[in-house]
Amino acid sequence: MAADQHRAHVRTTREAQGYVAGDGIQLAFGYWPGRGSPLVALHGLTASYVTFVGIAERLAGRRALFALDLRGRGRSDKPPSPYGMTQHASDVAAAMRSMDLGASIIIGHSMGGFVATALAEQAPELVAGLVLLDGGYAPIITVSGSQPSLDAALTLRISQLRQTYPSREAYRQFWRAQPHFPPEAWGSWIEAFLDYEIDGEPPVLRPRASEEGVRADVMEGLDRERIVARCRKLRVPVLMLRASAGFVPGSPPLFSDAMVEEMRACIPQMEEHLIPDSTH
Amino acid sequence: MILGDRGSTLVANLIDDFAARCLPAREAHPA
Repeated sequence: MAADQHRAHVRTTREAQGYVAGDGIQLAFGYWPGRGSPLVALHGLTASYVTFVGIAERLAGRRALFALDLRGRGRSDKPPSPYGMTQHASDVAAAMRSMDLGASIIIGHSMGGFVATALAEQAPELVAGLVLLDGGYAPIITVSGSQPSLDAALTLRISQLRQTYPSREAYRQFWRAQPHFPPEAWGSWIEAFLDYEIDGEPPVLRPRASEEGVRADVMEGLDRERIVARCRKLRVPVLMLRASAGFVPGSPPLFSDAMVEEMRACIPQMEEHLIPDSTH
Repeated sequence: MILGDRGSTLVANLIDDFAARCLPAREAHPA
């Protein structure tokens, strides 16, 4: 079948979910309507497209938003391999071409920022600008011992992927008991994200993300030289929005002032803002 | 990112402004 026959133009006036062809696999996506060609959003290490629900609702129709579940996450296919930023970028490029999207604004949160810079390197014709949300630059993921709080957060997240939960409510309560979600931030957006994140039937529900895929991506996240090299090659406008705190309120930001300056040396055109009262 | 209501609004506004500067003039009709 000709490639054009697979094309499904993203032109709908209502919120939608569906599947789109990635690089040999199926990727789940969410779509929020708005004016113009959609912004393309890529989530972090163990997350899903629903991580963007709050931003999508606050765009309030001004911009359409097309957010993917990366391979191994959410409702997307979970092959045993390959993973890594180059592979994710190939998936995103395939999905964008399937949707007949041209040069777009690519939004990447955390690891999604690495994927975004890999996409800019691999398929520059698909990238009009990058929005990096607390991500996209090393050493966001570091070797053990260099950033204890980050290591602890990753360890918790990966070990949590093996756990089962008797109900969605139990899963919500697990996270509500963690310091990551302060009571004042808890609301329907976080509940929607958590409800989407687990799969199965009571009393055995488990997180959807593939531990193998997450581990493979963490290992590539350690490749600082490659990440920095991708940043140095960026020739498109870049907007960096960094959280004022790390994984929990009151902790130091993952992107310190010094790291932002280091990043700016690689990406001189970068515009940067600190988002108050936010965490990674 | 855990942004809350105000943070999500701020981020959405910054992204909208950035997109307006990076993308050609948007279509005059809803997509």
